[in-house]
Amino acid sequence: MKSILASSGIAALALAAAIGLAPGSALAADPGITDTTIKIGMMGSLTGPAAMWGWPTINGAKMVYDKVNEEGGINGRKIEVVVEDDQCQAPLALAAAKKLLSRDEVFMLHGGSCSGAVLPVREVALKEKIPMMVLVATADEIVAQPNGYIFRAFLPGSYDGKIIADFLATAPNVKKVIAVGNTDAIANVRYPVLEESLKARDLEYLGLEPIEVEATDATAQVLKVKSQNPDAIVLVARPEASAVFLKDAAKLGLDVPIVGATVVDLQDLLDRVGDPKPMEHMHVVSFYKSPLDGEPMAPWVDMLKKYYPDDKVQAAAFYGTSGALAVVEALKRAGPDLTREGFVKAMSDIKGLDGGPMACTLNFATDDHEGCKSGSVWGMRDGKVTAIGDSWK
Amino acid sequence: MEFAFLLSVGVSNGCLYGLVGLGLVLVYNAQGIPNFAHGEFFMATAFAAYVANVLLGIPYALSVLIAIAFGGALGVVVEFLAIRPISTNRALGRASTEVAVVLSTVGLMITIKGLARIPWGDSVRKLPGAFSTDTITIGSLIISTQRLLIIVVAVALTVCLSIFFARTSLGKKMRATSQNTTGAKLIGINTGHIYSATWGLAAICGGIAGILAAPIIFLHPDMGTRMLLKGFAAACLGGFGSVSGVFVGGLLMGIVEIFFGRYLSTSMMDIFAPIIIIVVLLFRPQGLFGTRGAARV
Amino acid sequence: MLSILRNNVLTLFFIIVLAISFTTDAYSQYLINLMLVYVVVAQGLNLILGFAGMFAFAHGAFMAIGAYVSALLMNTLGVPYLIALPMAGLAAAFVGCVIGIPAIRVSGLYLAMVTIGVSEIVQWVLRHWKPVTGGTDGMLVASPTFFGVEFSDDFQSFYVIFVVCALMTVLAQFVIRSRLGRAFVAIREGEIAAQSSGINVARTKVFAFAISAFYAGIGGSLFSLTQHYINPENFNLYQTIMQFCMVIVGGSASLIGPFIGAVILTWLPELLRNAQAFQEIGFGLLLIVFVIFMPRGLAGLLISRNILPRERFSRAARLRKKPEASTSVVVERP
Repeated sequence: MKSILASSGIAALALAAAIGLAPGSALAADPGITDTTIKIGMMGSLTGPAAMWGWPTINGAKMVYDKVNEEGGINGRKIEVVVEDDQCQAPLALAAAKKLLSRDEVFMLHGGSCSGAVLPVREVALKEKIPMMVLVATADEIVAQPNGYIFRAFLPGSYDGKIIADFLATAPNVKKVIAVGNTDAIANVRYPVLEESLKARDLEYLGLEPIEVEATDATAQVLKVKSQNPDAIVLVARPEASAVFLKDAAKLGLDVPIVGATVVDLQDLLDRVGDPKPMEHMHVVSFYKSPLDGEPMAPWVDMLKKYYPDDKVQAAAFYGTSGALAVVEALKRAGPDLTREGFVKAMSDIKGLDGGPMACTLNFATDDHEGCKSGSVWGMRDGKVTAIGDSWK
Repeated sequence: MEFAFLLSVGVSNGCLYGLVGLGLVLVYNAQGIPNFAHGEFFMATAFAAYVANVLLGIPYALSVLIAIAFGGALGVVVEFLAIRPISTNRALGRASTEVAVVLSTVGLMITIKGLARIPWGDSVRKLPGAFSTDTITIGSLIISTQRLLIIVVAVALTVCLSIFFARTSLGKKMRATSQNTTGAKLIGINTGHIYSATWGLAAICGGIAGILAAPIIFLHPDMGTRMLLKGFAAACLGGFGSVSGVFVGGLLMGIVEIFFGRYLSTSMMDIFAPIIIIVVLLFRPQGLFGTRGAARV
Repeated sequence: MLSILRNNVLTLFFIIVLAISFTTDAYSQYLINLMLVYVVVAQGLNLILGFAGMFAFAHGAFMAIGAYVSALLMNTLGVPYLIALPMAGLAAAFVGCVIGIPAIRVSGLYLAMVTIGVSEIVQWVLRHWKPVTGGTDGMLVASPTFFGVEFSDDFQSFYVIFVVCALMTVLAQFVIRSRLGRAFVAIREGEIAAQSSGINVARTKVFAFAISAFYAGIGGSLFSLTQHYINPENFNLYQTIMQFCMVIVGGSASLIGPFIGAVILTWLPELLRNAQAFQEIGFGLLLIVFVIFMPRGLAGLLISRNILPRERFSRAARLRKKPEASTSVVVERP
């Protein structure tokens, strides 16, 4: 009898235990807001292969919310953050977003570490009319118009192409430029804009020399590049592959200026290479106002140390900070009668907001949700990581 | 000059693939399965060297020895905990046993990687090389000292292992067990010990490759995955048969890969290993050097 | 009454899933959809791995082919989903055959390696054949339209997935109980014995590949409905390993196994959302623990405890194959 009972209930138990009861739909104004709280759902790759884009970036954004709460909140409401894991996988990211929206009933989303995982979530946010701030995903399509609800407050993937082209155009004796880079999603978004911008600046583009993300060796690439005699190289590779390429380039005497995309950080790269020589010619487009030990970054580094003392002070830690600053500003402007539509309107009206650690000022518009469009080029000058600005020095 | 340089890099990459492939072949010959956790021996041993040398400040040479011992122990423990209970389970048929053992190695791969990710998933780390000078110049040829070391160690290890299997009693017992398990048991060989030794040895081979490669490719929990595929390709080329076969297979693979990348297409380098695996297994499953009888299908 | 339920657990499963769908929220509905998709794929993998005993490691790639074919047919040619779905399955089955015909020459380790190689190459093609697949950017998938109604949200696509999953389940039962299904088991228990009892081993193996890939292709197409957007990363080796976990945890060579596996592996990670460190490790440990202690999976355990009824085909197969299985051992280990 007992076993038969158990059997008939197997599927039922498994499902019912997991599903629980659907929450009753609240008919209040917008979900996630009470008189004293605003609930924000954050998502990131907390575990899995992309975990280095998880907690570090989330905490860098969360510290802004922590500070706001400590100072009394916004219009009497404190920010309550719910964090979910998306492992940078689309199915899990969708599950996380749907959980945040239908279980936790958050007011808005702030998250996404990998473009491939965020793009399906984009469809949900637009359809359900949920405001969303992108955390660190860089693909242009995420924020591309038509899009009424999704915003981004750091330099998107393709925009560094223009910055690199403008920078190289001011460098002495640079006519022919070659790209070396990964062919994954992060890198691929950059090549078309890079090519276009180089041509607009009358520089010859010699094409792309692919390098594996997990390359152990770049000899073939370096020799191929050398045989084409470029005046400068654009390096669109993740830190591991970039370091491998730089080391082999130095060894084989490839000594033309190299400019890296925002996928690497110059200081981080210097730490990895561990030797200033291969880094001599390296430049990187950076999000930030200055290197992490520079004066403009000090308040943000201090804030991270205050709220998350265990976190490593690294470049990735502040990628999400400007987004949180924009969210806080929009929440303030939207006033006490907070609604999702009101928030989106307030966000679209933000102009000239300081980007915090970011080199840009944030400007949003109703038909343009990319808030940050400029970065700064860093290079090695006198063996030190130096913010150079937008033209060759 | 360019040719000589490409050759030197190709040879050292090939030696690395050969070392990884060697561990795969040892396990395959003993138990007839592909060990998907082998890349994790590569990773874990490199991290062990990192912990000893960088975190605890133990001198480099000693750190390497500690790491190798750790790698060997990991191999033995893993075999005892996750492989032996399956291979000695008489309730399963042979086909099911093989499926179960392979899936167990897949589970190990995920678990070990996940464990490494808890402390080290947040960023990439660096293990110093064995020498303080990075490169040496021979004539007009510039070679990195680490790559030279890789070549020397791989050759030495291959020679040592060949002698080990040909001359020593343990080596002979291991060969006997791989050729005929039942027969080996009948003549009094403790096959359990042999499997422990095999896994320990395989893990050491993978681990040494990891320590050698880490200064070039950096340390992160996923570092073993790509090497695993390259190692499989080397082993396929070599025919899963002999120690020296794998070494030559790896060498061939490293050299062809780099010339292919230089003169044909760098974008195809990504799928070079899988193409080799498919072509070799479909058209010459005994490998380039094996004889048909040697293939254990 | 209860014994009727006991003998119709799968019917009960579908009734419960349908009932829940009327009361649940978007989150659970999405997970139910995903679970049913995995049921389809796991049934396909179970056919080749569990029943035919062949180590094919390419189901992520077969899913990808199904997903991309149906998405391309709908997006670019405007083909209705009712046609795009079977086309997705057939395309995957075709590729399965193309791989299967040479791959049957090798078995065990070699088959595993060849199929892994194939899935790496499929990944590479998806990433580099930009004009067609959208490369690493992936592509949006149009929502299917039936009789002028667009099935776009989770609650609507549920009905499509539910019906297809039920049909595929009936088909799987039919295949397994047919002559072909018995031939699969015979091959698993020993090729030489199977051959000597008049089974065309090569043809049966290609069939196993094709049918299994067909399931993965259909599953891939349904998967794209749950995501509305696909990219190559959805179908990497991790996806294949997940399918393996489902078959092993649920119980290989069991009709109900894929259901148990899909339920557990879809819901367990969600229940463990707060135990982050455990996510990845837990997944690996689950696999190890099951192959060591419960090689027949949960289905095997429940059947041996008499909680679930013994599956009809398996009794028949066992009675039939026992003598042959023992001879095959002798043949294989000279």
